[in-house]
Formats: sequence, structure tokens, C-alpha cells
Amino acid sequence: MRRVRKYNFLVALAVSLAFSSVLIPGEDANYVTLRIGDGFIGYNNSAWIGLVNASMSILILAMVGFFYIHGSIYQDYRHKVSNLLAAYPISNKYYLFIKVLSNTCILLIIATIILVGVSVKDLLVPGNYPFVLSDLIVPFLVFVLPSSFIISSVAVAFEVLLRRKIVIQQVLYFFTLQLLSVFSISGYRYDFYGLGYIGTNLTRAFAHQVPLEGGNSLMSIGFLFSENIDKKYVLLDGIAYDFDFLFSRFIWVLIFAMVIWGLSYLFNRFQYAAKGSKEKWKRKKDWKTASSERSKILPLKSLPTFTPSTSNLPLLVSEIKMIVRNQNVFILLLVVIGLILQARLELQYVINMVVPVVWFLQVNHVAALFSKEYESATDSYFFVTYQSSRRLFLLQFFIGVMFLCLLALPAFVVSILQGYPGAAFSLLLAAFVVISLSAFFGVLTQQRRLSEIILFVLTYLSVSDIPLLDFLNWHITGTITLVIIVASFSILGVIAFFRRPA
Amino acid sequence: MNLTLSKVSKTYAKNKHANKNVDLVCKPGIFGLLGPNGAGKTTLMKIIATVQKPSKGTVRLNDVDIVNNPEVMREKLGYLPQMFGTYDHLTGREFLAYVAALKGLSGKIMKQRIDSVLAELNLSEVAGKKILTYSGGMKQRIGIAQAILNDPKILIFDEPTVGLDPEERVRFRNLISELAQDSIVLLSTHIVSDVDSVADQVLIMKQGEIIRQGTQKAIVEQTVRYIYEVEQTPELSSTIPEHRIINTMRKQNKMVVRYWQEEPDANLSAHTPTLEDTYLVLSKSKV
Repeated sequence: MRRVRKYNFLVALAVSLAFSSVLIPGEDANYVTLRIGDGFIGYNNSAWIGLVNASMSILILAMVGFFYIHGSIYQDYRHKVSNLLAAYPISNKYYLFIKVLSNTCILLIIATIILVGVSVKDLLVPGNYPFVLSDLIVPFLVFVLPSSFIISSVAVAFEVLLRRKIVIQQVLYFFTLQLLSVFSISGYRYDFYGLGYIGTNLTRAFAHQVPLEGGNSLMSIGFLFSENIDKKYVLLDGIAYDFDFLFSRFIWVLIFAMVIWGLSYLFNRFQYAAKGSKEKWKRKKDWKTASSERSKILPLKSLPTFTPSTSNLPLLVSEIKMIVRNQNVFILLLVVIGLILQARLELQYVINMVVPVVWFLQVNHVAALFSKEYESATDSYFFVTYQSSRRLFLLQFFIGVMFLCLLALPAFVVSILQGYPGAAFSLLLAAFVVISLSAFFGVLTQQRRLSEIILFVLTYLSVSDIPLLDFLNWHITGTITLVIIVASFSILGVIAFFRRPA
Repeated sequence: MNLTLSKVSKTYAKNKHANKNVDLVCKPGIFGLLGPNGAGKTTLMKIIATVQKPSKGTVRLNDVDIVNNPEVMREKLGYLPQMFGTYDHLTGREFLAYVAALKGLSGKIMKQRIDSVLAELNLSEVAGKKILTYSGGMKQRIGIAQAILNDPKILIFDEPTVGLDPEERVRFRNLISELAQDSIVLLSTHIVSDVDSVADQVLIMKQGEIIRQGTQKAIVEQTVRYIYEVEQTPELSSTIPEHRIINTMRKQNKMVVRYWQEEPDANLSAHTPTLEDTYLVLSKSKV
């Protein structure tokens, strides 16, 4: 209940509904979502729609859903509810299972909204095939339901193991997702989500009707836009669910439930707080006021009066300090490796892979730029100081863009030295786009979560070479598109600016 | 320095009035705001601090309307809200440096003021440690520190002594007494003794209105005249009306009833009425 009453949940539901409307492309659409080989897709009967819905829902839940539900234990800590829970008789096992189940419910709500949207569209849009509800529901139950539980368990497991190291959890999950995608096609023995089973059975079903050989039988999930897709339609009657596969779904749920049960022995919610005393960069000497230094401190009343300064420099220094202060050593190391790779690898790989990953490693700071006042409950007194919140906003925007540019500095230099100033301009524009999105969602929702999710999606799309939104190669698009992009994201930034209190 | 509130009202919904026609004139000194939960103290303070705008009425600082010109107030304001957060990953000094930058301080003056404020609030020794490691009392003191950093002429403290030990509370009272010599200090609290010992004027709020305003002595004399304490017995409940009972407490293994009346009782020796007595009477009564 706590999570569904939030503004960002309404946004998530609205996005899910919008997503459901584009999930099943029509026959004249210039994109496909699920295909076998180089363009074999099913006619839009209920059997095909059900499988597309299940596959795409799992993809969305695995990519975006994780970030949405992630941090549920941390939220209890942040809102000091853990102080109350500590005194309750609830066991750690029960607490963790409740977290997994509530996460699962949230994911299922999102998936159900998508299913309802898709079903209504199938029912209402006139077509050549009858509406068969079971063809829509059965894949949902067989694939989406257990996958939701698995994703929820992974989110809770990461939190138990890595506690408040949120960024590390997100980075680890990013790589885990890549790994799971590989496992998914290795046969259902390791097929956590069941996508491999869908692919194998679709290939089998299609192979009865069309020639599919070798590499031409691989399943692809995701939006593929192209005017030139040679779509070859095949009628699908559905796929069979053998007992072994259905049993494997149950086994996977049981395995992850056992993992959570086992992890509950490592979890002590009484001591969930980070150990602040372990400061790797701790100063050798704490500042202590020696008696000689104490004599230099003037009493308050004898200090000279001053005229408030309008200089931005002290604020700039403090904001930068906050970004630098809260760095994790491991993440910092990865960033340094990323910077080195930017100077060594081919430019196209740098732009499409290295830069987005390096930016993602700092997602915590980028997303928190505009929401930290709200999340830290400092807004009530920060926004009534001499430097107005809107002035602070502009400064934060500038720092955000500069920070991302700094993280892509080797790529900038290489682009210019190799004679591709357009690529450097694209990186600058990409930084502007990312910060505009962060500003818009940070100010509107007063939380960093949506910004984190969006940056993750952008990174994933870029790294996986999914051409849904190429946010790093603006120099390839036309001038008019560029103008539209700049105008659109500027509008987002302006909206965020005026949403801040005056 | 002159702060004037005229018919200030704040309405959230059709029948939900947080403040109703509040009139107030403040000159340098300490104004203690007392009232039960939901009385409208925090809302009033937020309006004066320009966090919220009133639904009706005006707030003027030296004849300048601060509702339409909030920057005039903000330049001189030091505000500590009831619930506030900090950036836990910064040290106390760094956090104050950030706040100082927001308040328009820079350079040597900023450093001087931060050092002085930390010393004043007994935080010098922990200034180099992350706020994450601070106790509740230390965090509260950091909150007070950020409020006084810019030499404000209007200081608004909403429940400032929460989490402070008795020694720190005394230091706080001494601090605001010093600051109040040329500043207006508005202090909202449930702890009557905080107000009793330092406030020049006391304002008692109830249901969005100021029901009593004046010095402690004047308010007490207006409300309660004679205070008595007797041991609680079954017969007592029928002789003392409910609205006259201030509180019932345990003293030396006996339950004792403290009550007030307008005429003296020759059979009993009167106790000196206190501000707390007055406050409790007004909170309970249907005034």
C-alpha cells in the first residue's frame, strides 16, 4: 500500500498502459517486438499476442521493474520504520519474505496492467482471429508470475548482501541481467525466466511451416524499428507446456525462496545502518580545537557584519564536494578503467558502450542532483535561503552536465583529435538530455528512482545495441530532429525549473 | 526591526483552518509560542519563514510585504523547522559551508562564522566527522547552527530543544537570549520551561488562533488565580469541577490533584501559579 500510493507509481502504471498499446505491432507497423530469425512473426491471434506479451513483460520487469522495487528494505531504514520493526516479534525470515512478496505484487500489478491493455486491444480491434482469453492468461501465469518472484528475490538478495551499497547493487544487476540473458537461451535447465522455452517452442512451431535453419532460428525480443523489415507471417496455434518445464518453474521459485531463507540468517535488521566509522578516506587527524586555536575563534556577537554575496563559487564547490565525498572505491575504480578504455578503444565502441556505462556508474549522483533536498528533508529550510532554489537548480544543472562531460572527457578528446567534432557535440547533447531527464523527474517526483530507471534503460539500450532511442549519436540524425530533441528536453528542464519553489 | 502580521489565515480545505485571523506585532526580543498539537504554530512559522503563503492577510517586515517579496525576509532569516534533515555524508563543517554558501556567505567571513557557530554550540570537536556519526542531540545542534550562521535578524525555531540534554538546553536559552538583543526570535515549543525562562512575550495558540498574548505574569494572572494541591480521594471528584483540574500527579506515594479557582480557600495554602498551569488550563478548556 505504501508504494502504490506514491506519485511515481501512478507514473509507472501510466507508462505500463502506454507500453501495452505498442507491444503488439499491427501488420502495417514499421517495427516488430518478437521475431524468430530475420523476420518470422506470428499473425496477431491470441496465441501469438499472449506469448509476445509474456516475453516483453518479462523484459520490462527485468530491466525496469528491478529498479522500481529495489531498495524496499532500505526505505524502511530511511523512514526510521526499522527502529519500530526492531522491537516487533517478526522474524527476519518472515520480514524478508514479506518484502519479496510485496515486491512481487508490485511487479505483477504492472504486468497485469500491461496484460489488460493488450487484452482489451485484442478484444476491441477487429481482426481475423477470435479472442481466446486463455491464450493470453496462460503464458502470463507460466512465465510472468514466476519471473516476477525471481526478480523480486534477486532485489531483496542484493540488498541483504550489499546493504546500503545501492550503486554497486545496480551495477551488479546490470551485469547479472546480461548473464541471465545468455543463460536463457541455454535450455530451460538454467532458463530463469522461461524465455528460452518460448524461443525453442516458437522455432519448433514455425519450422513446421517455414524453413528455419541454424542462425535463422534465434528468437529476438525488443523493439526493432525499420522501414525495411521483411516480415514473414506465420500462423501460430500456441505452444505446448510440458510437465518438465512447468515443474522447472516451480523449482526455480523454490530455489530462490530457499536463497532468501538462507540469506535471512545473514540479515540483521537491527543493524542495517551502514558502518559510518569505516571511512577509507578518513582523515588522519580529526579536527580538534587546540587551546591556541580556540583563542582565535571570535564570539558570535563580535563578528563583523557582512553583505550577502551573490557568488556561485562557494555553492559550486560544496555541490562538487558532495559528489566527490560520497564515492565508493570500487565504483571509482571501474570509472577509472572506463576512462582508460575511452582513450584506447575504437570511437564507436567508446560512444555506444563505454561512455553510457561510465555514466551509469555514477547514476546515484546524477539522479540525486535535483532530488536530494527532498529526500534528505533539507528543502524546508534550504529553499528559504538567500540563494533561491531556482538559482540553485541552474547551478545543479550546470554541474550535472559538466560532471557527465568530465566522465566522458577522454572520448571528447579522442573525437576531436580523430576529426569527429560531431561525435563530441553528440556527447555534450547526450549529457544535456540525461540531466534534463534527471531534473524533470527529480523535481516532479521528489525522488531519484525514476531518473535511475531511465538512465538504466538508456544505458541498456545503448550497450545492447537496441536502436529504440540512440541518445548518443545525435550527429547522425538530421538537423530538424536535433532541433526537436534540444527543444523537447529544454522544455523538460524549464518545467522542472519552474516547479521549484521561487 | 519590526514584524507585523495582520489577519493572517491559512486554509487547506473547506473547513480546515490552520490559522485564523492572526494579528501579531514583533519587535526585537523572544516570543514564545505555546500550543497543543494542531494549534497552528508550525503553519504560522512557515508563513513567516516564507515557506508557505497565507490564504489571507499580510506579513510585513519593516513595512515591506514579504508575501510578495520573500527575498527581503530570506536575507535576514534563520529558520529551524520542526522536522529537518541533513546531508549525512558531509562532515558538520562541510554541511555548514554548504548552508553558508546558500545564505550568501563566502571567503574568510564564512570560515569565521562557521568556527564561531560550531564553538557556540559545542560542536567544534566533531566538526570534522560525518553527520552520519552524530547523535540526535548533535544533529539538532547542527540544525540550530545552520539557522544562526548568517547573523539573522529574524530567527524562527520550531521545537528547537528536542533531543538536547538539560545542559545543552540551558546553553541554547543563553544563546537566543544573546541573539534576541537585536533580533526577533520566535520560539515554538511544547516545553513550557524553555519559554518561561527566556521569553519576553508568550503567545498561546489554540485551533489556529492566538488566545493569549503578553508577558508570562500577565497571562497567568488573566487565567488562573489560586492554585491548590490536595490528595486525591473518591469524594474529591464530586467537589472539584473537571475544568478546574490542571493535572493529577504522583507525589511521595500519593496521587495529588492540582487545581485552580478564582477565590482563595482559607483552609488551604495556595501554590504560586505557573505558566505551565495556565497553558494546561487553556489547552483543556473550551476557550
